[in-house]
Amino acid sequence: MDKSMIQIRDLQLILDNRTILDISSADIPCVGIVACIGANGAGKTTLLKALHGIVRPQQGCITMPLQNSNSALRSALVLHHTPMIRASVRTNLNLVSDSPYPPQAGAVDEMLQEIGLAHLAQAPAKKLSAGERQKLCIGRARLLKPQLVLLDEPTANLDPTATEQVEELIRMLGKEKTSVIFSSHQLAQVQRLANYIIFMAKGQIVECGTPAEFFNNPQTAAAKQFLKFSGGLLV
Amino acid sequence: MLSAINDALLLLGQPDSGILGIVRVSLQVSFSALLLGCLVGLPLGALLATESFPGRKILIVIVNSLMGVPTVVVGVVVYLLLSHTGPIGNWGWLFTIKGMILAQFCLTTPLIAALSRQLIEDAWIHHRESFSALQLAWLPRLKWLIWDCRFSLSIVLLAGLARAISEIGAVMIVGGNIDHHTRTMTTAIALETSKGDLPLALALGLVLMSLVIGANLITYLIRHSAEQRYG
Repeated sequence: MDKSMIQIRDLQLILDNRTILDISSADIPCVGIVACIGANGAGKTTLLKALHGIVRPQQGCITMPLQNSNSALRSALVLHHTPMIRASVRTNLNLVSDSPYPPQAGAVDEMLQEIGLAHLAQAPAKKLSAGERQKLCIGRARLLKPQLVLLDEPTANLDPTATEQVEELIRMLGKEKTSVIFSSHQLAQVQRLANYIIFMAKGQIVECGTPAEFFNNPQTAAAKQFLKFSGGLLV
Repeated sequence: MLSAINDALLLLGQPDSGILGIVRVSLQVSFSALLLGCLVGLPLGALLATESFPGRKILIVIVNSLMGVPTVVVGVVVYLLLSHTGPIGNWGWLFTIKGMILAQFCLTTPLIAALSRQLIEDAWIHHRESFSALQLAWLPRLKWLIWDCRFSLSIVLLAGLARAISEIGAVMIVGGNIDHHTRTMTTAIALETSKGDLPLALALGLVLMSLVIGANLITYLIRHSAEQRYG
């Protein structure tokens, strides 16, 4: 087994008689920044949740790479919409102190500085802008010290400035040797950030490859059609 | 009637130790019952809101039904439990403040559990995925859900306090309305009215109303300012 690969075998997840995920075999590299793209309802979000373990498939298995100590790889998931609790920014960040991986003393303050929200530490989190909320959520995920961060449409509904800031945080994760898998509909963003792409359609991973391979030479009809209608076909 | 009101106001202007004692007993019993009711009712409501287990729906129906049980019925049940031949008769709590607190605890707990369950369930639907993503265990989940709902839950506490401080049936049966010992505002009002001492009954009624209005006002102000701040 390749130690840097997430292995998915015979994975099937059915909800309300609808097949959400149906992946017979796939190996996703757990290195660098991986983009998960596909049309709405392709199963991107559910795949991220399954990788994090909060969605249990009816059959099949996901094997995460082992760490040095042979312990399972630690992941953190940032949802597309993360509701804030009615409390300050600091308190919302502090939620991780009750997780199985509580941060060290002072880590929350350092993270507030890193994500640029130190001046809003005592402000109510519900009043943050969408971009600030997303930064808070990514900061919260980073406090868990994960080896893999899963981001579900991290810049959806953000303005260009906030998008740039969130993309910078994603790049920072990559530099910290943290693997990132993010879903997105923005092909330009995928090209800016990703070094590997998985393309999903109807619950299946139908194509994988580097951005150059995927954008310049898509292999499947589904990928070609997706790129054509998304304006991403370069050839 | 006007002279009775006038006399009641005079009594309140110079309250004697009897009135103060009655008010003290009322507050002691009701606030203790409310506190204990919160300690049991809030986690129970949160448990029913967030966990799936066999019999959950039946338990919800039972808790909801217990909200409306007449106070005298609770009084009789607690009386039977505390009486000499009852299962906990050897505690010696009958006709004591402890017994009255137990009776009011039985009244406030289902109310707090049932109302908080609904509020926390709504919050749980909202936060379920993000809390799961953070892998929060059961107890931290309850803590943060209750914290998130704290402003809405203040209304539940108010309802619990109102249920406790205004009831007469349970404390009359379990406490026995003993002067300078287990007499509360509600039992004293009933007794003094039947004796024809309307000024004292009216004075205690005014104190009771002031306490309920005061608690409502404080809750409203805290909730209003907190909601403005935290949304």
